[in-house]
Amino acid sequence: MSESEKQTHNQQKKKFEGPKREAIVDLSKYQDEKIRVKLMGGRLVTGILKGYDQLMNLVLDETVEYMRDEEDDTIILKEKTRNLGLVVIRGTMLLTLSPLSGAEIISNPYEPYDNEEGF
Amino acid sequence: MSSATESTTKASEQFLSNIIGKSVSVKLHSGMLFQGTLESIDGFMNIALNNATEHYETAENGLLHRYDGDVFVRGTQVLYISEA
Amino acid sequence: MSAAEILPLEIIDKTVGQPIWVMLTSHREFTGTLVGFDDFVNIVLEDVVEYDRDHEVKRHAGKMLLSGNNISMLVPGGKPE
Repeated sequence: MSESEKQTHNQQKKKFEGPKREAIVDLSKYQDEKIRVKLMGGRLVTGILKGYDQLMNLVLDETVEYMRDEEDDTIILKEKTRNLGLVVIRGTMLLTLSPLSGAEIISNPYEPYDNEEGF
Repeated sequence: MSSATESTTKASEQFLSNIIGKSVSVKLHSGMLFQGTLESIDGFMNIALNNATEHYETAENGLLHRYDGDVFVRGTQVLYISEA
Repeated sequence: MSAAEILPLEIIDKTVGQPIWVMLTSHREFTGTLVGFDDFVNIVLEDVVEYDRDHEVKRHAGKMLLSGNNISMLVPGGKPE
């Protein structure tokens, strides 16, 4: 292979590999902070971030899982929870991750009101 | 990774080689349960069973099908494989 | 990375030989003794109880290879009660 051929080969290889995979979110700023994690399939947990790795596998402590309605999986019962303690979460199943401070789970605003005036 | 991880990697491979020819249960993500003699299994968890029965969730749930010959189960659909 | 940080797979590694509680993306869950796991976090368990939601589905006396494909959470120490 000539020198120029080698160069185009390397360029093509670079293009194929794409940008260097770097984490777009720095999880170290959430270390020992309470976070909220949504998983594929609909599970929702909160817990204190104790550790993580390159693949976004997480270690949470004092983890609480929010249970969902038996009939309708999309309804999160914010008063029905279970304590899991120390858990490992698979990065492959992670959907969203956010800090818990400044956020709260509210009741469904689209739920019809009980009284007739609509308040 | 650590040497401990290496030894546990062997544990999963060891399991696969140890159960060849034994009676196994295979459950799919759909909930279907196959029980039969394990002919072979590969790294994708593709599985070949002999003399298998098919039930839903548990063997107590009524026989759906009996396979006298071989059954091939695609690995992507396999939830677990267990002894007996 | 700080030295105090805990690596997720290291925790799983330390759980080998002890009870573990495995949750899938679905409502299905498994408890048993962790025998081992591989790079894909396919898991080998022993003396397994299989649950759907909180209802027990099946008990498995021997070993089980659980596909890592749909595992979402692992709880070292097993299920309470």
